[in-house]
Amino acid sequence: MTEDVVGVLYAEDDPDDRLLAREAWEDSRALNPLDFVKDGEELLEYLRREGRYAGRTSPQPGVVLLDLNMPRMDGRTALAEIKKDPELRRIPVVVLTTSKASEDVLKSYDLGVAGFIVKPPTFEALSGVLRDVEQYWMKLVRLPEG
Amino acid sequence: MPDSPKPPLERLAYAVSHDLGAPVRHIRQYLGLLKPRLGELDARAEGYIERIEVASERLASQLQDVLRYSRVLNRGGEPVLTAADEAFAAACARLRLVIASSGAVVVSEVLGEVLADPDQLEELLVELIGNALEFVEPGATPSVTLRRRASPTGVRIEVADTGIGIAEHAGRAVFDLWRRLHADGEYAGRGVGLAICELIVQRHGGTIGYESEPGRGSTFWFELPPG
Repeated sequence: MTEDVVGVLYAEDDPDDRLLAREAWEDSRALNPLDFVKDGEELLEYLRREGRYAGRTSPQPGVVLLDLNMPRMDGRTALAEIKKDPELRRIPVVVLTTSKASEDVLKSYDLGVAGFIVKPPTFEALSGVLRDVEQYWMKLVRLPEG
Repeated sequence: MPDSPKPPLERLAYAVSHDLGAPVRHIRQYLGLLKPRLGELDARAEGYIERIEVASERLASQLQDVLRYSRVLNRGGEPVLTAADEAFAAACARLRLVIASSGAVVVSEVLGEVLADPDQLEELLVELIGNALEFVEPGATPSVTLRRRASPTGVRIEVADTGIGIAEHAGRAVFDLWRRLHADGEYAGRGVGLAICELIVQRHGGTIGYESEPGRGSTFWFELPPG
């Protein structure tokens, strides 16, 4: 996120899911920035402004979209880390995953997610999901920061 | 992590249905992106695109079926003494829209207790009653009756209907995954329900079967080991 505008950060290891989300974000005419990280480790570095993101000056994301199944550090571990960290715990995290398994849903809410979305099957539905995410998190709700 | 590793075929079924979901989803989403950029196509090219859409949608549905099938083994609980009448009530509640729209009569004698995983017993009854509601002559009102029968080897529950029945040559093939006995569009379903039923019953150490007279109806039964 290059500007001062609060945006959405999406942690997703699958390059197709990232490309399709980028296209859907543009298709839904969202104005806020959408940024990507590729796994849980990169997500934590981004949020903590460490490592590759040591010099990052952009504001914290208004909402984090989080895939659960990722290499290196998966979404579940990253989520637990975020919610343990007093500096980060207020950032809303919404899970976006292929899993419909009830234990993943329950565990995610136990760890404090703000929502759980199953990846939609069509491009049209994906655009709709990202439009709703932008409407709700960037326009409707009052975020903890900013 | 689970206490003991699952058998390889159960893990394979889960991995196939889960991990092939992403590429299938991507094909469908890229198609959605591609279509508006194709401009004017001739009728044949339009037809090909449509066939790709239908095929990829079907593939996605079949992966869901494999996932459901694998979950019978991967997620099933231990058999416990379960009130079958409660499972029947829950199954009817899940089927209430179909029952209401068809005006079906679904009744049950006292079923008592059986040794089963409660969720899977409910799923079993949903599938068997659901089939009885679906396979009737167009316009006919479905009628379904559940009974409990004493059996020397366990507890037998019957689901009897007055529907179209099953052709004699079908035999055990009705329990095969994706086996359908009717043409596309004639009756709903992908041929998954009875395969799930057979797997649930086998998992409980029981047996499943049916008697049928074409044009008069079918009686599906399953037998579970005694408590």
